[in-house]
Amino acid sequence: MSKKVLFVVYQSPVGSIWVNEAFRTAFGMYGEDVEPSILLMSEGVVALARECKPEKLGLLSVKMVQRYVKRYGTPVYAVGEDLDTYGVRDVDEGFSAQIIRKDELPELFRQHDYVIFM
Amino acid sequence: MALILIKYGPDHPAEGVKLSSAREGDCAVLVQNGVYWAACDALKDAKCPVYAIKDDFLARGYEEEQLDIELIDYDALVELIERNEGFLG
Repeated sequence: MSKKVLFVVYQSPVGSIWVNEAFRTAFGMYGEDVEPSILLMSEGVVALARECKPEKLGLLSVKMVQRYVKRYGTPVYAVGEDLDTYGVRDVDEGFSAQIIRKDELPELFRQHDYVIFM
Repeated sequence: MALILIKYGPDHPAEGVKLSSAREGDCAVLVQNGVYWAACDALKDAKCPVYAIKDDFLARGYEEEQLDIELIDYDALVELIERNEGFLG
């Protein structure tokens, strides 16, 4: 039976590598007996903003992962309250993110065997 | 049953979420700067037993009798890791 792993990113997609790393790690697990998911919370939710473009500063694009999210059907979650806090009004549908409330997090965690904060 | 590992102090955005997700049957361990939680009232609301790594606790200037938390060593942490199926950390 495959193990379910949730990668949680709480750091900004601009100036930290963790959003890209979480997706990269998740995509690498499809060859194993693992079902990965991604949760963006706190500053990490900024990655979902349509105009979030770290490449403008010479950093790695966050949009590059969307192709694989679509291909693998990787579940992506984001905390709604954090989207409000950080002013993310125009969410990029390319991530197919499910918006969840903060009080739903404990239940989301329980649905996974391992929850890894990055 | 999950082991919850708290590595950073109370100001960290993720650690409060982890602790508030604790359920009966889980256990939480404070490691490194996570031991600062031992000085917070927030731990009183924890729904599971909370332990702190003794070496990390003493290294930050606390004394064993100063705070009401059970201190464990790394061998005990390994036992907890083996005993708990789930992991949150």
